[in-house]
Amino acid sequence: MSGIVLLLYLFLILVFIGGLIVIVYHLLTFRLNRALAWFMVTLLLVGGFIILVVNLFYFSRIDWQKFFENFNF
Amino acid sequence: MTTNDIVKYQHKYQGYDFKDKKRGEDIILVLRRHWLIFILQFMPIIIGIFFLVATHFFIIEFMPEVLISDGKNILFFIESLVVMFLWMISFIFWIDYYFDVWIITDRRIIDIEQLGLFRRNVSELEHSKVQDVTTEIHGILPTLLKYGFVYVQTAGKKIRFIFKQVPRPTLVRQLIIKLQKRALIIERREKK
Repeated sequence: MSGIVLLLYLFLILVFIGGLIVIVYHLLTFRLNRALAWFMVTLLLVGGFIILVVNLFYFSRIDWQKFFENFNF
Repeated sequence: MTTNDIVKYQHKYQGYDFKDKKRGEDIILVLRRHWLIFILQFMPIIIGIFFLVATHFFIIEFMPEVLISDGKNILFFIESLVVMFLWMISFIFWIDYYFDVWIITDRRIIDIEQLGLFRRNVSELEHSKVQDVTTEIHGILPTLLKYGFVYVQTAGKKIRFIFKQVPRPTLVRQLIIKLQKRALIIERREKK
């Protein structure tokens, strides 16, 4: 069961990273103001990285085996 | 709207650039929808943040047993996952607002319509092709906050540029008319 959780989580992380790449592409390709575009890219990536690290940290701290045992899966 | 005003605008947008900008072309005005429209578009994110915070405090206050051992980690994991996607979606909303833009240069009007991340319509119109400019401010909020629609009619009957919910539409109309007159004078001079 924890293998499925890991796969699902990996999928969500890939969607998130893919989304960030698409946004960065848009910000830099269709930019109107160079300074603002780079500011937004930095904000997006720094914020995204912090949230991702926090999320990974909590994901690693959960005992998924125990979690599913509690729910009788 | 005087020539000095146009020069003032040109100075303001000196750091701006866009794809297909011609050599020597000066940006006079960059228009987006009014900030109120952005806040309204952003409302789902604000509601999402509100629900996230409310749920967090509800669990702490009324369901403290959930926070024992792994429950706390699960709660924070789910919350950070929601924040992660709210973060991404808020940037998508911002792109949708920021890149939905009307650019008035000294030569033409460019209408860039950003529809989500994967659809983008770009159309342009030379000032000399403009035939009629109409503004419309309709409703209490648009009247109070001074935003509305600007319709630019071209020689072709069906082609019409619509500046949607832009601030100070009257000023925009005056500017377009001024630029159209200037373009016609230049065109006549070149013909001679």
